[in-house]
Amino acid sequence: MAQTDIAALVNQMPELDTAQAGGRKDSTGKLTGITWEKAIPIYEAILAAGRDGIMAVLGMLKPVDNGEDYKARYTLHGMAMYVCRSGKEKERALYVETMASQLGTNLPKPIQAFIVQQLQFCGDRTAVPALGKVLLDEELGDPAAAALTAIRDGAAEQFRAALPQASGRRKLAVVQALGVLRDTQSVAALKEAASDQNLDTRIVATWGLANIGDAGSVDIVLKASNADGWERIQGVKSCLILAERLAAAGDKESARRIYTHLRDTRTDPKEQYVREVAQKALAALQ
Amino acid sequence: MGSTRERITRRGLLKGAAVAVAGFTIVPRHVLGGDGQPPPSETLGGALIGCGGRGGGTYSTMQNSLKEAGLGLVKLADCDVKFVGKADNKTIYTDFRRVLERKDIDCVAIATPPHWHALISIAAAEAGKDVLCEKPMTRFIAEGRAVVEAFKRYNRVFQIGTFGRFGHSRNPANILTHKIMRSGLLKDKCQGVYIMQGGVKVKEWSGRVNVQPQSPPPNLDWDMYCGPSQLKPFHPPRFGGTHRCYWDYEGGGLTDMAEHHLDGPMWVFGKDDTSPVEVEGYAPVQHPEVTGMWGYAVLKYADGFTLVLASREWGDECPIKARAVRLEDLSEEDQKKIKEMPDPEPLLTFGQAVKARKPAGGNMPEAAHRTMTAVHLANIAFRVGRKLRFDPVKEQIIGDEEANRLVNQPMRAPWHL
Repeated sequence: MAQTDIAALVNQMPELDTAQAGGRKDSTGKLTGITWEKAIPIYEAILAAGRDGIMAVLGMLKPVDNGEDYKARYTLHGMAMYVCRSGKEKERALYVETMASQLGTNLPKPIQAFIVQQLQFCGDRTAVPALGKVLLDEELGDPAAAALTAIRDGAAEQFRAALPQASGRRKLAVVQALGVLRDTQSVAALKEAASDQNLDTRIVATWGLANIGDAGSVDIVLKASNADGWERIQGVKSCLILAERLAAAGDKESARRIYTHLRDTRTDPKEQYVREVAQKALAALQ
Repeated sequence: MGSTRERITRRGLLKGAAVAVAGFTIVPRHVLGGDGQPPPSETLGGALIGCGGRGGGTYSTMQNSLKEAGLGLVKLADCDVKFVGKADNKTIYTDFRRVLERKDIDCVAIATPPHWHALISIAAAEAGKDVLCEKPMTRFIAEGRAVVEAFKRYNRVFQIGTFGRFGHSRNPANILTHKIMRSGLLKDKCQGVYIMQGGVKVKEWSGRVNVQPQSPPPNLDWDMYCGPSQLKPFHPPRFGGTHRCYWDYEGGGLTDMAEHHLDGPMWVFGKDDTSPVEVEGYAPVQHPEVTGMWGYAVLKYADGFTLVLASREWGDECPIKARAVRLEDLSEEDQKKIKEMPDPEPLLTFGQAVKARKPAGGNMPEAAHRTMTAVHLANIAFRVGRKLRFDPVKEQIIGDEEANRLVNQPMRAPWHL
């Protein structure tokens, strides 16, 4: 199908509101939307044009999201949702492969960020390597981490591979994702990150170890709970999460050690609530 | 109760909550401090996080509720991301973490945009604070479960800033319905249908898609404002009351208003600890960034009860008719059991709950989480454009991994549940 036909299809998306609505003067520019019944034939026609059809819509995107290209964005997003329907596996594979192939190219970063966002909704394992490629990109790293975390399947491998080269915010995002994904293969790396110079990285790494339920991280969470301020509060959180995970896994002795520490060290009346949590948990472990 | 939405106003809700506490506010004069004020031992430290819009009102609500329970509250801190250049980190802050570190603060009112509600509530519980949080409680379902777990873990008090249940729970007809629903005697044969009709400002809180990005104002920490959401280019509608119109921060008028309208009915119909098992939405294709129009959602519970959320602003009217839950729906023998059931315990206000160290509002924050789960499921159904089945125990959509990505959405580091 020629690109002009694709443009005509995209142009069938509804115009923006021009009338005032809801008693507000700024309602101009709102989108009433298209019904699925009307949208699906448009999506099908674009998908029937194969990779070229999707690429033609992608070609309509502008680097600045100011409404100029809203019909193309709206079309591509609707397609991302549509191809996840049961029975649309072939179309989804086409859509995901085409979109993912544009990551790491010379397309403007804001357009790549839009693509990453759509892959967060509909991407699967096949999109994971492409998303991994942009994990360390300053503009795309955070959305790519979100998309990979949403996809989950195969994502940890990308984060593990990225971690040695990551620094600053990129390292923070990667460390956090490994904790969210409860990646047991990353325990050693997270232990190292738990003593990072950066406070946020230390906190998310310690939390990650707790979330994984790593029995070898008891000393790390206890150390964090002895810090000051926000790190102390978050250290206690990691202690409690790890203790809960260990107890649930049958390691009552390690859980008891954590709770006992909290019970015995929270002597400030303003930390009595922590002591009470520990006391209650210890009683439950009996 | 009436089968359609009762007219609810914020003033009415607050009045209802105030009446609800009336029976518990008689404090012997000898325990009061000078000039009728609570003694220092019963005066708590308070903070407001999120000082725009509803902030002042939320803090006053917290203060009044505590006062009704015989507790004083001294405001020690205001925190807002728009205080850049003004913050002294003594009474004015831009970073809520610095507020929560303070050991002299006991209670926190949260009135930030909703993408921060769950995270700050959780952090406050972790710091040992009690919380009154503006509605909506959450931006997505997994946040709600995390809030519930945190408040349970730390044994802190949480109340959502909407109070419909207090008025509803004193109405004899509502009490009867509540007892029928909670008895389990209907098993899975409940014929009740509750329709929330209108009042959710769908068009008003739909987003504009044609706004030119610009530099954020110098007094605003835009990165902190975005917080767990992706850092998007700033434009004015993303900040201020119109944050409601962006999926990054809320979920349109439905997310913003439905917790008001449903807080009472969810108590009446006994849905404080469960969620729908099936949801079907009627809406146009949604936009990736801005919230938009929808017609209605039909949410079915395992006991047969049906909740309909109808906007009356788009498409056809919902064909489903409201139907009350009646005593006559039960056998004579079961009707007798209902009549012999004791009435439920009066709901504790925030202040009473803080004083008694018991859950506020009957079953908070679980109840607020369950209300918002129904609301979020409707929005998910609108967004994915397909019928969903939901497991109310695992709190996951069944057999639809992509829809589940909207149940538990990734957060931008360092923010996590």
